[in-house]
Amino acid sequence: MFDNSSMNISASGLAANQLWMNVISNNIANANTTRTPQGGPYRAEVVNFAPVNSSSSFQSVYGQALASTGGGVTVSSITQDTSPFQLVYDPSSPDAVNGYVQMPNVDIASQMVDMISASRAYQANVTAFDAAKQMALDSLSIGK
Amino acid sequence: MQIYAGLPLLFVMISGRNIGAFDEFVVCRRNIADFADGVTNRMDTFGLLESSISAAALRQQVYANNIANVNTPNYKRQDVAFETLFQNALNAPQAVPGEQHIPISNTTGTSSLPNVQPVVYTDYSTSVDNNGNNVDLTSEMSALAENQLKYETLVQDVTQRIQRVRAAITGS
Repeated sequence: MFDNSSMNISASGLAANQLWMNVISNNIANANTTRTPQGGPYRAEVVNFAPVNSSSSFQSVYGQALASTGGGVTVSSITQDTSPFQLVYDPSSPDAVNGYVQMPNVDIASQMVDMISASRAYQANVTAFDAAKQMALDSLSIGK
Repeated sequence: MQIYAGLPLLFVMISGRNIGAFDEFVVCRRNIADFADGVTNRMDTFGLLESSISAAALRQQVYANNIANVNTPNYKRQDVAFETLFQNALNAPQAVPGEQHIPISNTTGTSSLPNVQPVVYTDYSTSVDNNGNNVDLTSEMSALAENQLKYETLVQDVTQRIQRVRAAITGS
């Protein structure tokens, strides 16, 4: 308990969900961005989660063989959504090609759903952290 | 599986587990138990309570990991087996040192509680999401709350037992 392992695990969950929330905010903020430094409209970004095992590779393999506890979660990579851009008819836009403008592939509805997921997961990790903290405090009262 | 250790071996096995500040308590407990052992056999109850507490601490870690990985693709939830293993060990017939036979059931009383370690296992029994994840946040949160209460109960039990020993020593 006092090696802070379960608190570290919950903290990794908090950090990962915070990062997810940042990416979602960035996607929503750029929902109408038609020009990027790379050229073309903004592409939505997707966060990929991966479980953390032990630090060294041998320990990791050994831990998996013994089915020991994991070490939390991490964001392994942030990749770009490869789904096609939306075409919107707007001949007055300076980015229009044959009257059509390529708009970002950010789906606001799915971003909002992801945002709720991230928020709920964050809350759940806070609760788990509180539980670990309370248990550590309880164990300090042993023998009093 | 059954270990017929005397006090020192049991002590070594318990202190071999890294449970931090609890180790200091174990040292105190041994001193108390050295006093009390001749009369009461309290040693094994403390040992059992300590195993249960460390199982609850491990469970907290495992549930926290499940909650942290609630959105991780292909993650499978883990759980801790302890109570069932302990019950099985209690029911299993044990060989008695120095005797030529194995008794039909364990009727030796609390003086030889089996030393059972909690085991982490991967749970494939729950329904799997479409991203290969089988963590159900609702059940994890309720298991977490239940485990926290269990931990508090065990800590209070240990504390009150120590208070009773202290009352026996000091007479007040």
